[in-house]
Amino acid sequence: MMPATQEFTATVTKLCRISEDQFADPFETLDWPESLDREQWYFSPELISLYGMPEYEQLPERQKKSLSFHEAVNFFSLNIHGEKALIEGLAKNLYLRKDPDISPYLHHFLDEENKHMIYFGRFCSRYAGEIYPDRKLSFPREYAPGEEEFLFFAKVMIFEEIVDVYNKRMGADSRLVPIAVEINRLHHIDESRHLAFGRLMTHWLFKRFAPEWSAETLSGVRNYLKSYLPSVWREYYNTDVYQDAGLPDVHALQERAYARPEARAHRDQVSRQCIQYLLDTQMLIEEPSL
Amino acid sequence: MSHEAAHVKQALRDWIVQHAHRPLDGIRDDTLILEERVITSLQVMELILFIERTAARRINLPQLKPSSFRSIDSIYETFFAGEGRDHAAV
Repeated sequence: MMPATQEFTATVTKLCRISEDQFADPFETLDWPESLDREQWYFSPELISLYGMPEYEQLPERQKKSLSFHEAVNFFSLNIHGEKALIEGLAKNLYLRKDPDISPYLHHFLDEENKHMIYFGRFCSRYAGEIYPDRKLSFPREYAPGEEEFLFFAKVMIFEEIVDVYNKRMGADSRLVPIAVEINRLHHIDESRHLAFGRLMTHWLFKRFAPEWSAETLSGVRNYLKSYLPSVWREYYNTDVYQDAGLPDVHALQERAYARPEARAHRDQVSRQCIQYLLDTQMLIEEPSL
Repeated sequence: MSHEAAHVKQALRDWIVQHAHRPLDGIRDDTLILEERVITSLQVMELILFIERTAARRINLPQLKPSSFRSIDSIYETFFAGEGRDHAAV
């Protein structure tokens, strides 16, 4: 068996080669219609955050489709905010460590994330005239050695694993308008490499640093990850979406939508592979409450 | 303190106690809720939703500063009191 660092380097080299082979021009890859017909599907109905609720089922088809447009704008907005933070963190990690040397792949990662933001940003700006604002704030604090780096890559992995399930489904959903299908499909193609890298990097950092952390730090890291999962999911239930789709009493609607057992089961099903990975690698030692 | 201010601060206190990250002996209006890890940074998003629900309007998120969430007093000043309310609303 190859030593961990050697295996890591071999994977990074392979991912670099695929990124080079699949290099794409974001301005040539997609056909952008001047305007969009809002009475079409933009988000798979089953993934709409209110799907299955009486408040959703009783809407006329036209309004369901309008809601699907705003859900797509929210999903793409979440990706923009997630990727802005990602690019910042990836840039910080460039040439930070030589063992293993991940910088060759970080250049591709940065390039690809920037392209994704071009897709998402253009869709939101051109067709919705806005990007929904980010409700997350970051607060500076002290970290143990390796803790900040580990948490950064672990959060990226969790965020992207959830997004990718949605991308995969909507990238193959022929009910959606072509531009929505294509953005999801292209994102999924690049993300499959990012996910492979994310798991490798996160696990490597955990194995490298966790044995040196105090019991308190380790428990804090696990608690943070456990809380991070539901905080990612919260953003899929956005009052701005409901308001823009013309629905009443949006805050109460959001609470009801999030609290339903069906919604919890959906979140669990979408996150299952990611949670299992975190449990298998001991990054988590108990199930998060979704 | 006006009746409205007392009512809002009580609602904030109740929310924070209900969502506290660690056991609390009590909470004052000037308790540093983030610095003292009463709530975590991840819970701020939920707190923002609660503030929006209580104030019945959208908050101007891009202009938010972490210092707005230091304590019940600072939350009240930023989102509910005169000038702060106008600044924080969309």
